[in-house]
Order: sequence, then C-alpha cells, then structure tokens
Amino acid sequence: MKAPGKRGVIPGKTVAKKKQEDVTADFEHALEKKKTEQYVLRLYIAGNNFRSQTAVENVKKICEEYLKGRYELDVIDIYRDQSKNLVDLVLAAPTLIKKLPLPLRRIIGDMTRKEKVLIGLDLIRQ
Amino acid sequence: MTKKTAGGIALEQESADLRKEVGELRGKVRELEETLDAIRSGEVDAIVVSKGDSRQVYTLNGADHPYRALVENIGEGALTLSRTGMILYTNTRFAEMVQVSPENVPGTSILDHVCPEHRTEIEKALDGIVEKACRLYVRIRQGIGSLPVLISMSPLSSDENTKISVVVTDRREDESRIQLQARMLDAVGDAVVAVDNDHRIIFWNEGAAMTYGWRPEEVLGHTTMEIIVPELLKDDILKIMAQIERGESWSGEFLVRHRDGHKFPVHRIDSPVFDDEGTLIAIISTSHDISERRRAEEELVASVQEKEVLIHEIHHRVKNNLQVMSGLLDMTRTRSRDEYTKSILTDMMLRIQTMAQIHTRMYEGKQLGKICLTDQIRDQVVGLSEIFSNEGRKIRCQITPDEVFLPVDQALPCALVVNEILSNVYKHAFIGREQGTIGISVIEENGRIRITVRDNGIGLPDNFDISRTNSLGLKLIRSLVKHQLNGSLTFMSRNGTEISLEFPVTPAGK
Repeated sequence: MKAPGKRGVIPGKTVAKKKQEDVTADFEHALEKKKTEQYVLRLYIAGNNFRSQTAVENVKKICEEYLKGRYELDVIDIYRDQSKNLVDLVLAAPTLIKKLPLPLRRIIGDMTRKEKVLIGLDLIRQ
Repeated sequence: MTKKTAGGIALEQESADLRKEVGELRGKVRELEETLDAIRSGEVDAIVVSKGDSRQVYTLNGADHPYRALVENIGEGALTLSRTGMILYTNTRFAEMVQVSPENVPGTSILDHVCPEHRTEIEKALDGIVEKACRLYVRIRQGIGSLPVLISMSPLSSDENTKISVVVTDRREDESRIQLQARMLDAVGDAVVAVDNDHRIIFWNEGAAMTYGWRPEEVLGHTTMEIIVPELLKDDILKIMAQIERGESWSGEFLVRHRDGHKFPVHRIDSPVFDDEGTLIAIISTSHDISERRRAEEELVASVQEKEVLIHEIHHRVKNNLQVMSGLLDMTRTRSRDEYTKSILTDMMLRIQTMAQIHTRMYEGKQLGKICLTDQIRDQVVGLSEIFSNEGRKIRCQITPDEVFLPVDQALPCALVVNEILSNVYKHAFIGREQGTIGISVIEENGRIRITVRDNGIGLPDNFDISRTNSLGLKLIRSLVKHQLNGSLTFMSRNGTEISLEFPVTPAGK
C-alpha cells in the first residue's frame, strides 16, 4: 500500500525536519515500488544440455521465492529461435536477461550462485 | 616559468599514470570487442573453455546437432524433467500438444499439463521413478479440451536427484480405433466381456449390459465372480483356467445371475488373449442367453415323451384286441370237429398271434420303432411247437441268430412270412416221421437280411412250383416277400427242405 499522507508537507514543522521526512518517505516509497514492480525475464538456453537444465530449475526457484506473481519468464532455446537471439545479442547460453525493470542486466551461467543472480536482478545490493 | 609545487608534480604524475592506464584499458576493451564480434559474427569454428585443469573445446556446429534434430522432428513430445516434475526442456511437439508457446513451457510442472484426474498417477510415478521406468495412459490439457496420450518416463541415472526423460505419444488415432472396435463389439448381440489376469473386468459391451442388467461403468474393475456369480464348481473353474492358459478356447453352459437376482442359463466361449511375447494378458468371453432354447428343448422333450406314451397306449390296445381275436379263434378251433376247419382256424389264429406279438414288442421295447427279430422268431417257435406238439412227434428247433433289429413296417411282414414257413414245416415236413430238426439262422450282412429255415424232413414234392401253388400260406409268403419286403425267396430240396428269404433293411421311418 502506498502512503500519500507521508509525502505531503505537514504545517508547523521546521524545514530541516520536513527534508528529513521527505527522504524517509522517498526511501519507503522506493522500497514499496520494488516489491510491486513487474519483472520481465528472458532465459536463453542451449537445447537440452546439462547447464541449461540447471539454469531453468534455478531461475524458476528464485522467481517463485522472490518474485511470485509478478514476473514473466520466457525460456528461449538458442538452437530453435534464432531471431530473438540476434535482438538480445546473446553470446553464451545459459544467459538470463532482466529486460524490466530497467536497467537491462545480463547474467551468464547456470545460476547456481544464487547471490550473483539476486544482485543481477537488483533484488539485493552489492 | 612558475615553480611547480610538490603537490602539483604528484598530481601530474597521477594524471599521466591514469592516462596510460585508460589507454591500456581501451586497448583491452577494443581487443575484447573484436573477439566478441568475431565470435558473434561466426568468424570462429570453436570456442575453448578452461575450467581448472580441464579444457573443453566447443565446436560451433555441434556434434549433438543430429541428436537435436532427431528430438525436434521425432513427431512425439519430448521433455526433460527435474526430480520434482519441473519441465527443464521441451521440444516443439510437446508445446504444440498442450497449445502453449515453447518459451512458456520450461519452468512449469508436468502436473500443470495433466488433467486433474490423472495427477495422482503421475505423482506416484515420479516418486518411484528411480526404481522403475513407467508408461501411463493419461489425458493432458489442450486449450479448453484434452488429448489422450501415452507418457513414458525413465530416469537418466540411478542417482536420487536424477533428471527424467519423458516421451509423450499422441493416442488420438489409437483412441478412435479403439472406439470403433468398441462400437463393433457393442453391435454384437451377444455379451462380450474381457477380464485381466486378476479376473477384473476391463471391457463390458452393450450386449453384456442387456444380458446381465449392469452398465459398464458399474462393473469395470470388479471380478466376474462378484457380478454374474456363475454357478461353477471350483474344480471346473481350475479346469477352464488350465485350458485357457494352454492357449485353448473353452465353451460350455452354466447358470448366471442377472442384476435383478433371477438366474438364467448361458452358453459361454472363453478365449485367451496373448501379447507379442506370448504372455496371457486377458480373457475374452462371449455369452449368449439360452433360456429360450432351453425352454424350447424342454417343451420338445415333453412333447416327444407325451407322444411316446400315446404310441405305447395305441400298440397296447391293438395288441389287446388282436389277443382277444386270437383267443376267440383258439376257442373256436379247439371246438371244431372238422379237421379242415380246425386247420384253417389254427392258421388264422397263428397269423393274428404273430401280429399281436409284434405289437407287444412295440410297446415293451425300449427302442421305439425297432423290433428284435430274433426274440420274435424265438417266441413264434415256442407258440408253434405248443400247438403242433400234441401230434406225438418230437421236433427240435435250433436258432442261430445274430441280434437283428428291424423297423416295424418290415418286422410285421417278416414275422408273418416266418410264421407261414414254420407252420408249413411243422405241418408237412415230418409227415410219417417220429422226430425231426429245424434250423433257423438269421444273418445281417451289408444292409441285407437273410433268414434260412432248414429241416431234415421229407422234402418238397417233385413237381413243387411256388408260382403255381394254390395254398394260401405260400401265396401269402410270395406276396409279402415280393411287395412288402422287396426281397427274394429260394427253395431247395436236399435231405429235407431249405427255404431262404433275403431282403434289404430299410432305415426306420422310410
């Protein structure tokens, strides 16, 4: 839930106090927004190979744990669909691309290192 | 020139270092970009990947290309599942089957694509997949409808966390063929029921529903013992099973129970069904309600019995009447003082007695319509010797017969002919002699009967000719043999007389 009251100027307070309150409100708002942001993800895999299988399993688990109900995941086989491959300039597979929210990020590998994936998805800070 | 401060010198130095570093970095970035461009634009044949001590070379036109092409073009759905059933890889065919874009299938669970009624089966199969590969006939979701498929799952390794490879086969054609076969079996008027090796019903056609009163959905999975309760002994069942297991069909009749509780007889044929390896996989049986036939048979038997009783009664009455007549003639005969009259009356009495004997045999005999000729001749000899023994002669009679049976319409004329011949022998063959012997033989050979009466008496007169005789007895013999028996007669006079009578046996009722 958004809290618009917190962002408004409250009469009778000092300027310094108002500034402090605004910063807090902005931070909370940003946090709130992060929790509701829709993710559009694209996972490039190379056919039925072992690392690709592992990547699918790991990405799906992370999405269900951190982004349940607010993500779209397309799994693209670079052998089958070459047109999307060209658009996204994929060099290796598996590659996970966070298309939204911006900025665009690429994570290469089988996504076994969960922390690396969470940083890439902007879900935790480095 | 202004003198540079120490701080200024240090700053310049730092700036120069940074410029140098940026220059080096630019060079490295350019090199990296060129490498990446070369790989991306296909200017290389292979990529070398190093990990620790091992080094792997990946050719860009991979050795697994034929395998990928096979999986993609096989025409069957192909999947790789995680141990929990998550789809890690799908080929295009499976995505088409479930009508979902191939990009959205990986990451979903196999259970998301299976119709709800089959989910438990799949879950169980996944649980036990490490021990056992499995094949399941299920329906998968296809848009708003569903599709019958065969799912074959096998583990990729014996590891507890093994991946699972799955082949999904479209069974629509199978299903429509099966439906056609089921419709054909429904069209058969008889009850067609198939059971598996545990005797559980796996097929029950419309005929079975009509015959036993149970709908297929009510009985599938139950045993036939529970449903139709056949009245068979345990030994019989074991015997039937042994025959079926040998690959033979069994057929027989027994009582079964209808849903409403009434029992009725069926004629059933059980046949084994084997798979390609020759293992018994099912037993199919066709049953036909034979209540109507049984009823008709019982009515027929009752009617035949009734008619037999009536026929016996008629023969009995005819015999009684003939015996009364014979008795009347006997009384008249013994009172007659004139020998000629007495002789005529005796002949008449004997003829009527012979006919009465035939009718007695008719209702006493077990084989209706067949008369034992030898017994008849024996009785006739006894009757004749009683009548003619008071003349003071000793006449022995030997009968060497086969057991010969004749139909009624031949037995009566035949007995009359034998009566005439024997009467003549008793009356004429031993005139002037104290004793004599008569031999009678009855032989059946190649569908013909030959009766020979031989005596050692005085023989026939020299000028004897049967066609010219005026005697009633001989005329009777000639007429009966010729017209009723379609036979022939021969007379021979040597050390007595030999008369032979031969005729073909006609089957009863003709």
